[in-house]
Amino acid sequence: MAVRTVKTSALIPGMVIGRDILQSSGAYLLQEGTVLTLAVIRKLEKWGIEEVQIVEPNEEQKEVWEAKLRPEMELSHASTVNLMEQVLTNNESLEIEKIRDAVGEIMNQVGLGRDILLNLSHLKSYDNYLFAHSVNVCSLAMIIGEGMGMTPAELEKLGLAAILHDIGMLKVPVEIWKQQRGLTSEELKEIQRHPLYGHDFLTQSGGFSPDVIAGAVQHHERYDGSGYPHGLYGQEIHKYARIIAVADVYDACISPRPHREPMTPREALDNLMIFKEKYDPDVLYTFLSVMAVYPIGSLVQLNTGEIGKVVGIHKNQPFRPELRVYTDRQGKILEKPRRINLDDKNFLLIHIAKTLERAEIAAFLSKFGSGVSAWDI
Amino acid sequence: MRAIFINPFVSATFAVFETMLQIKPEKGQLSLKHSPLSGRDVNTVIGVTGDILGQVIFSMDTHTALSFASIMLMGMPVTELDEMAKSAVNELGNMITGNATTGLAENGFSCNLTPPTLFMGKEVMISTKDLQILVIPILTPHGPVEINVALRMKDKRGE
Repeated sequence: MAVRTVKTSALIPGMVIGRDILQSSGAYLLQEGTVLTLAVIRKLEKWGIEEVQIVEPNEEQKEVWEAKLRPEMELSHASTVNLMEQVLTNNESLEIEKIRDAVGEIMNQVGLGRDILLNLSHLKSYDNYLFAHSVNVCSLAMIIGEGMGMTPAELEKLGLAAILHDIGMLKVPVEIWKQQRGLTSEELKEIQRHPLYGHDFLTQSGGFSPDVIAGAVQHHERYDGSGYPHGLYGQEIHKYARIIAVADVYDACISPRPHREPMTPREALDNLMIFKEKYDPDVLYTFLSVMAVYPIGSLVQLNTGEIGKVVGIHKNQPFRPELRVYTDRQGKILEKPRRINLDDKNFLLIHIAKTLERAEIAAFLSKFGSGVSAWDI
Repeated sequence: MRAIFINPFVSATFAVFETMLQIKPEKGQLSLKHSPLSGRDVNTVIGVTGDILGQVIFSMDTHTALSFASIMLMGMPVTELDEMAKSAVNELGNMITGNATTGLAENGFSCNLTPPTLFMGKEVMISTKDLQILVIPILTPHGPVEINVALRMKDKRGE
C-alpha cells in the first residue's frame, strides 16, 4: 500500500492513516486504516504530532478531498483579501504585523493546496480587484519562488514585496484605474507613477527591508530594459521584482477588468511567452515547470476526443497534468466528471491534443447553464 | 518486415512533428542494420507486444532533442536535457506511440505499446535480439532523426 507523508496542518477529513501512530510507550494513538475526522485532526495537533503517513489516494478520493477543502480555501482567500483591503485603506498607519499575518496565511494556503488555490473561482466583480490581485500575485510569486528553491525566510520577504507591489495605486485617483474607456496619455502617465508612489509609501512607513521595497516597486521594470519607472535592465532588477513581474502579468491577464474580458489561462501564458524577452528567462522557465504548458483552469481536448479541465500540476511534467474529464469521446457530458492523472503510467497513450478555442469553450460551457465560467465547473 | 506495420509509425511521426513542432520532415533512404544498434545521443525506445512483437527506437542528436524540447516548451531556450526538457521529448514519443497504436488497429493489428523510455548516450547499445532493424531516416530542419524499427509478426506458438 502506497503511503505519503502529510503535515498535520495539511490533513483533511476523509484521509486515511497509512501507518500506525504509536506513543513512545508503544501504545497505539491511531491505527492504520483510521479515517480522519476534524476532531481527530485537532487531537493530532494537540499531541504535537507534526506529520503523519496517509494512504496515497486514488483519483476519486482526491476529488472528494478537494471538494471538502475548496470551500475552506475560498473562505480563507476571501478573508485575506478583506484583511488587505482594511490594512491598505487605513490611512492612519500601515499595520505591518497584519500584512505579515496575511502573507503567512497565503503561504499556508499554498502549502495546503496550491492546485485548488489556483483553481478558485475568479472574482466576478472588480470592485476589490486591487486587493484580490495583490493576494493572487502573492500566492503566484511564492509558488514560483518555491520552484526556484528559495528558503522560507526568503519566500516571506518575496511574499511581502508581492502583496504590496501595487500599494502605490492607492494614490492614483480611483476614477483613473477603474476607467472603462482607453486612457488619455495624462492618465496613463499618472498610472505609471504608481511604483514611485509605492516607493515613497513603503520607505516612509518604515519597517520594510530594502529587498522588500525593491521587489515591490520594480515590478514594472522589464528584463529587456523596456519597463518603468527607471528602465532598469536584466539583473539590475531585483530578483523579487523579476518574479513578481511574471506573477503580476499572468494574474492581470486571467482577471476580468472593466475594459476587457479575462483571458484563458493558456492565453495568459501565451501572452508571457510571446513577449518572453521582457522577463527573466530563469523565472519564466520555473513558471513553466510549476504552472505547466496547460495551466490550471485550462479546458483541453484529449486525443480520445474527451474534454477536461486541468486541475492539478506535477512539477517538471508540463504535458502530464491531472484532469477532470467532463465528456465522453463523442463530447456528451458525463453524469459525473471523471478524474484522471495523465502522469499515471496507464494513461501514457492518452495525451492533450489541444486547448479549446474561445468559441469551443463557449459551446462547451453553455451545456452547464448560462454565465458559467471554466472556474465554476 | 512488412510495410503494413511499419507505416503507422512513420505516418504518426510525420503527423506529430507537423502539428507539435510545426516542421515538415522529409523521409530519407531506407537501410537495414543488424542488432545491436548503437544509436545517437538521445534514444527513445518503445516496446511493442500483441500481434506484432519488437521495438521501435527513435534516435537523434542532443542538439536536435534540445531544439524539439524548446519548441514544445513554447519557445523557451533549452540548453540542457533537464527533467522538463526530457519530459518534452518523451511527450513527443507518447504522442507518436498513441497515434501509431490507432494506425496499427486500423490495419487490423491489435497491439499494446509500452510507454517510451529515454536512453542517453552514444555508448548505449540497444539489442533487439536477432531481429533485423529497418532504419528510416527522417530529415528535419533541426537535424536528422532515425526511426529504427525491429518488428516481427507473432509466430504460431504465440511468441
